[in-house]
Amino acid sequence: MARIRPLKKAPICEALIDIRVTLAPGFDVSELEGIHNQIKADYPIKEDRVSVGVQIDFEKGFPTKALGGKDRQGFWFRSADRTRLFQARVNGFTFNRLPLYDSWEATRNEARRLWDLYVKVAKPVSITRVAVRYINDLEFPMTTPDPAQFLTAPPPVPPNLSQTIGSFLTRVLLHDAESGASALLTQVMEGGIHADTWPVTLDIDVFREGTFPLDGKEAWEVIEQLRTLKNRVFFESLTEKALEPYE
Amino acid sequence: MSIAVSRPAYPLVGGYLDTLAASDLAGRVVLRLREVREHLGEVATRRDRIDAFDELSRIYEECGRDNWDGEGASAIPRDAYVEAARVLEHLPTNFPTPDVVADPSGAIGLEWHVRKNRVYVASVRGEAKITYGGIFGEENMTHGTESYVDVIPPMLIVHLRRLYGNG
Repeated sequence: MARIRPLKKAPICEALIDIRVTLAPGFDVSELEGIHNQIKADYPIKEDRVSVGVQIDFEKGFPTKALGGKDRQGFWFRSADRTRLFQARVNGFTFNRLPLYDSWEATRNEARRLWDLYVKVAKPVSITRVAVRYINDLEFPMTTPDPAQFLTAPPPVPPNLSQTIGSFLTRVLLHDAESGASALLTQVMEGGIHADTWPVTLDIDVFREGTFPLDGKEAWEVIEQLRTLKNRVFFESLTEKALEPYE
Repeated sequence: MSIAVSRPAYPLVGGYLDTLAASDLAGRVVLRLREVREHLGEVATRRDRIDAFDELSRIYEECGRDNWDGEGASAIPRDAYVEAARVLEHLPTNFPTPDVVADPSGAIGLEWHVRKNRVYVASVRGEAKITYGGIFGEENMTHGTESYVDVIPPMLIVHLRRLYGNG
């Protein structure tokens, strides 16, 4: 496992902070649209988020009736350069930071600012889950095709079978007793666009569920702890050799 | 004993959502894989693939009848829509997402543009074939047709690597 330290060229493809809430019964989702007036300068692009559902009734194996419906979930507000995304939804709030990633402090501070705006309008009656999720895109050279050179937990292959892997996906849900948090660690290798490298996506989703006080203080303290756990998961998943290109 | 990765790209989650298995256990595996795919697709950087599916659906809705362009275009058949969706689903997630376009001949085209003389198009019309054509620089071109049933033909992966590489 690698030593925890800042990386000058961290392979971060996306970072997000997510807070799930319950809103008061009868909350009108169109009220969330009003947030845009306060952030238009920084987030000029507004998108409606709608979920679509279809119910199909069957009789004797044949469809007899189909009912479709659209449900407004909230709004996405994007920066003009599309590097930042603020999601204001009926089930919660998310801030997404896309490339180029700057720093945890900048990401957290902007998320906190937008969260305060969200709370003023949405007025949640409870906070039920907080999460920090980082998606990392790493590339390793085909001259070193052994995943164990880069990953501390590569997929195991039974020893009497072919040891050549075309693709893999591993996904484990870990519970950290110390913090009460969970970490969903996903490693994916599907073959890359460049023939001389093999890419690995390291998707680390760290979260804690529960009931957090509405003032948000504890929720944001936990978010800092989740970030620390996320870092531990990242560096424990990789060897020092894996991190050489990202120093 | 060490393991080694090889070059061929094979779709992970997408390929196994089309299952011919009939048991409850197989159904539970598919449900789990759907959960994984939804979770992986939640992030904003994968939106372009979801947006491509939305665009494909819009195209099928608007071009599913003859003369959809007012100039005698053929309707896009449902099988072409299904085939195009399969290609999008089976394309590895770290490959660039193509633009989805409707062709007046009744085919759906998937287009990758790098720059003026580096372009690749794969089109389907519901006949279990992919027709492709590509320009990889000033004097390098390719075109042809390959059968396509469940798995993306390897030539598509080879051509896309060539398009985005130095070949």
